[in-house]
Amino acid sequence: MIIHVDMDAFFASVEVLDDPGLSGACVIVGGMSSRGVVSAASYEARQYGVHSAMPMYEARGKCPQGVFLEPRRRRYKELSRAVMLILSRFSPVIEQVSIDEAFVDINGCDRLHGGPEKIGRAIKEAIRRELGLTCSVGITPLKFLSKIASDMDKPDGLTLIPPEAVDDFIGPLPVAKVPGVGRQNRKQLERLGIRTLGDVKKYSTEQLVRRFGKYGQRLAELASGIDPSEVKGVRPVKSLSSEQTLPVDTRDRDRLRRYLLKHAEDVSRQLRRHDLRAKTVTLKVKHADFSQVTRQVGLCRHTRSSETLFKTACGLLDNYRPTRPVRLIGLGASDLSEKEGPVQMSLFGEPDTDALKWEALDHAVDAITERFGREAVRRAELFNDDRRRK
Amino acid sequence: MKTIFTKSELLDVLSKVQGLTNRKTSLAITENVLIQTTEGGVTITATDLETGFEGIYPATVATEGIIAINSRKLYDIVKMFPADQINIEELENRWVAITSEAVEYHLVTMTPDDFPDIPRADEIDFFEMETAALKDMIEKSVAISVAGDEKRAHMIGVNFETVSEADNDYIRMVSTDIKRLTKVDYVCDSKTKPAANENVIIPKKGLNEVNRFLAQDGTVEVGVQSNHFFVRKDNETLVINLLDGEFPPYRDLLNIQTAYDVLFPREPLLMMLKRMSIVTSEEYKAVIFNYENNALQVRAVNPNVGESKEKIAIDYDRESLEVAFNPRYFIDALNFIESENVLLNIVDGEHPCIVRGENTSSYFNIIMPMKI
Repeated sequence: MIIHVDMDAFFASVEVLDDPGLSGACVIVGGMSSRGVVSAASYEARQYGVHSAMPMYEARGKCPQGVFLEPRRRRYKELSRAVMLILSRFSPVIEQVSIDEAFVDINGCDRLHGGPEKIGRAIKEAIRRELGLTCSVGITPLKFLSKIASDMDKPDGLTLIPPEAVDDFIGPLPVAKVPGVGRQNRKQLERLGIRTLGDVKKYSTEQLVRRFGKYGQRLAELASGIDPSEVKGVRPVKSLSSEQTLPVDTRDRDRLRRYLLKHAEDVSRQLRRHDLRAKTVTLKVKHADFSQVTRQVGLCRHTRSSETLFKTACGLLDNYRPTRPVRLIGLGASDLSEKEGPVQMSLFGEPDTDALKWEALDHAVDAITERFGREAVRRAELFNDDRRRK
Repeated sequence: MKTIFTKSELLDVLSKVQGLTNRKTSLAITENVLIQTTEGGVTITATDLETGFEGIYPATVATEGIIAINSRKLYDIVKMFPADQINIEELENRWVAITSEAVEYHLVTMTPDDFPDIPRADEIDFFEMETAALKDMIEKSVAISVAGDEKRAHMIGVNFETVSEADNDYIRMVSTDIKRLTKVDYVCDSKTKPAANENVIIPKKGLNEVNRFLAQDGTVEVGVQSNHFFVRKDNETLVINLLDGEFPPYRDLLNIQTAYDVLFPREPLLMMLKRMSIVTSEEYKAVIFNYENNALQVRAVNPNVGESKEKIAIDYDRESLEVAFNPRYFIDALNFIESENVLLNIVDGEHPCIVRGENTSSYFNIIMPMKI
């Protein structure tokens, strides 16, 4: 059996936990700028129609009495780690999907911890008692079903679908609930008269594959109660990125470059934390009209130097030459590799070894940041930027 | 313009200039060859704006004149021409006829006035070299090449200079991609009296053309003047525009402390490194050299492929030493060295390794290690 654990209104609950005075209030966590979006809303706020990813101004309109808070990511991460630690007491096979949810494979754990329901209750109890937070759990034999089940009895719920009940459960399940079915797919499915997973069985696997490609195959499997995906103990990182919606739209190249520098430093930091190096750099630009472009380039060798990431992204920006105002800018790193083998040195100490020096510098900055915080040392360019803002 | 060519002679010239005329440049006219007929014969000119070619040939000239004709088309026509004699005649409005008794082509040509000037080798002190020696120097130097978009002069060019050491004068070419460096010396004899010149940087692309242009035999004349490097063989001249830039100070790299020399049999070392490079890849290029107890053990580890190791007996009684290299660089070097034994001069894991033949110092390969 697989348990999906989903923290209830995680960010908002953490705020209530740290400030009990907020208990019962409509707590809304999200970006505070005029264009921020809701990251999390307490169940009280949800009653007013506030939900995550909603623009902040809309949330303020719907719930004017709400308490609006800036997210405190560090604190959330701290508690997220504590939750994962608790889960690891129940099974070694845990797959953290995001900051506030995880899959736990409990096959073979019943002799140790009891049956699925008992384990589910024990997890909820441990998280409540030790951290003061609630979560909802879904327990089913299939990974995708567990995710759907955890959402059925929120907050503080527990939904158990034993193997013998799976078929009855899947039949009437709306396809819209199936992970991976987006708006486009749903429309296409509806046109075929497919509203539930039961309806999927009206078509042969071949027909579905012809229509939806690989996803058709998966749909057919899910409809028959087959989900080959496993709980992956450690999920390999495939890409790392950093992006942000700008406080105001801009086409000022220098300004965009400064944002890229910040993102380059952030991505470089993530690479160092995972002990990875990247060989592909991606620039992401979203325009004021929400149209989005990405531009990619391969590097000649793996790196995690913030300077190389920055320069490469700037090169992409220069080549792309956005003409419309930019609303969001981001930098991604992919084609990741674990610690690189030996690195070619230069006879004359030229730029090829510069990358190594920058990596060493980044590393030193990490050490300082660890001791004195992020404000202690940073690029002069970014420092000026902050001062200018103040 | 009207003249008669011998098929084989014209074909020989045209095949030499295809490399130049097929290269994309900012001027469309460089796809053409310039053919000028005068009383003395025919002059054929081609350029890619960096390297120019000029050849003067005896021919039967009926009328003087000048045309700029597409090099590729003319080459194809001549290559398959069914007769030994080819008549080329300019008609009206830049139409040119290429004919024999049975064949007739009419080609559109371009305005010869637009053809860029090729620098003339006037008043240059040429010096003479064996052609084979020059070709050998060039081949060793251009073996180190860099990716297409590189612009730094010392990477895309070869340092060329004359050097006086001990009792000898040398002509020296030095080539690098900053990861490794080669030095090739040519000992000047009495016939070779190059004017002492400051070092110049000759583009590798142009040197490749020189190599293509020269046959193995005889001697060739070489000269440097202001911004050009000239190579003249009989009636044909190549001229290369020199590059602007500084060549990095390389002389310190040539100093050898013989105490660090280790003698290897060339062929077994070469084969061992070739076997090692089977497991290396673009991502994992390195081979680790481990010197210890009269043996060199090399190993390659590539997480995506696997690993291999191999041992070779040598005279080595210094402290054990571990250093990583790209084996490709050694393979390139060893392929050029002809002597039975080679010397590897390795100080430590931070300093470059010098590879050279046992009894010669005319060809050095200096290879920078990889940081482990």
